[in-house]
Amino acid sequence: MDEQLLIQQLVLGNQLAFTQLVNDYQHLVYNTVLSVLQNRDEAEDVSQEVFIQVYQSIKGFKGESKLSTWMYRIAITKSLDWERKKKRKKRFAIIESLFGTNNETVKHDPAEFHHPGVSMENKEKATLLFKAMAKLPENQKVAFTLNKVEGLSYQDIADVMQVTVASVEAYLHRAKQNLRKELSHIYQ
Amino acid sequence: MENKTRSSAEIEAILTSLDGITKAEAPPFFHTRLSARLQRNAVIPSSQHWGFAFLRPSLVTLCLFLVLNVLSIRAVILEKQTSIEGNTTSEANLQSFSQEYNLGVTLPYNETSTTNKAINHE
Repeated sequence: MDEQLLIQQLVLGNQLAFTQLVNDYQHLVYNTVLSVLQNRDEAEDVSQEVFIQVYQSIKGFKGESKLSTWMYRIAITKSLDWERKKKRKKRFAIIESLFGTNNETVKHDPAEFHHPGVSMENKEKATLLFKAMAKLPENQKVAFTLNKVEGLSYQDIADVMQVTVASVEAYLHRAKQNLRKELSHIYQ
Repeated sequence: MENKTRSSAEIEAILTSLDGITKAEAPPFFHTRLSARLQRNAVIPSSQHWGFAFLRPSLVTLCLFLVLNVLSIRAVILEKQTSIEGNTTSEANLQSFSQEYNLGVTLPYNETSTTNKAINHE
């Protein structure tokens, strides 16, 4: 089914069209979300939310951009929202534990993330890179992830982020500077 | 904790470690789990109803903050009122005590105390 026909069928609520959409885009969505969140369980949850969002708002899709661009945009938005929500919950849990109202220990994220698509010889280095990427500001993290992990061109990234190509170049330049700074120290 | 620095070559090697990365695949039965979740979402859960919005932690915290502030201000106002009433009461008690036992306690504003009368007569 070509993209235009797929969109038409999705708007009509055709379940087969939705199944095809999921089959076509599940890996794209999952890979993007996984690279931002760096947690497999959370990535699956958020990926499902992306498709739920698509299911609920396909009628509002005007077709001004490619379907993949729209999917990336929703995936990135949902991932960043999830991260912000997680940070708020963590802050609240810390305050609760200080006042003794919450007896549960504050859960910490696993220290290291291993992306399944990285070659064996690069696994250790990639782990360090993902750790440094997690500390980048949002725009830089998104631009770097879409470029390095998804392999998108600057134009495609600009379309997803709804900014100019010059802005994407600036985000990537600053991201690399910040990553170099973060990676320049080894702690023993 | 001893800090060492990485060389530029090491850093560049790390920065290029994602070259050739292949996309991670969604877990098996992703579509099945998604369909089940869509079916569950078809009935709006009660916890998402607007009536339960007040249970959100941020709203609860804000309400507690407001209530505590109101109670504190009320307590301060009540304390002030009590201390004013308390001063007036204790002065009245002191006067009646002194009159009963003819102690002639002089209060600065009381011109009819026994002691003053005695001095004036002298």
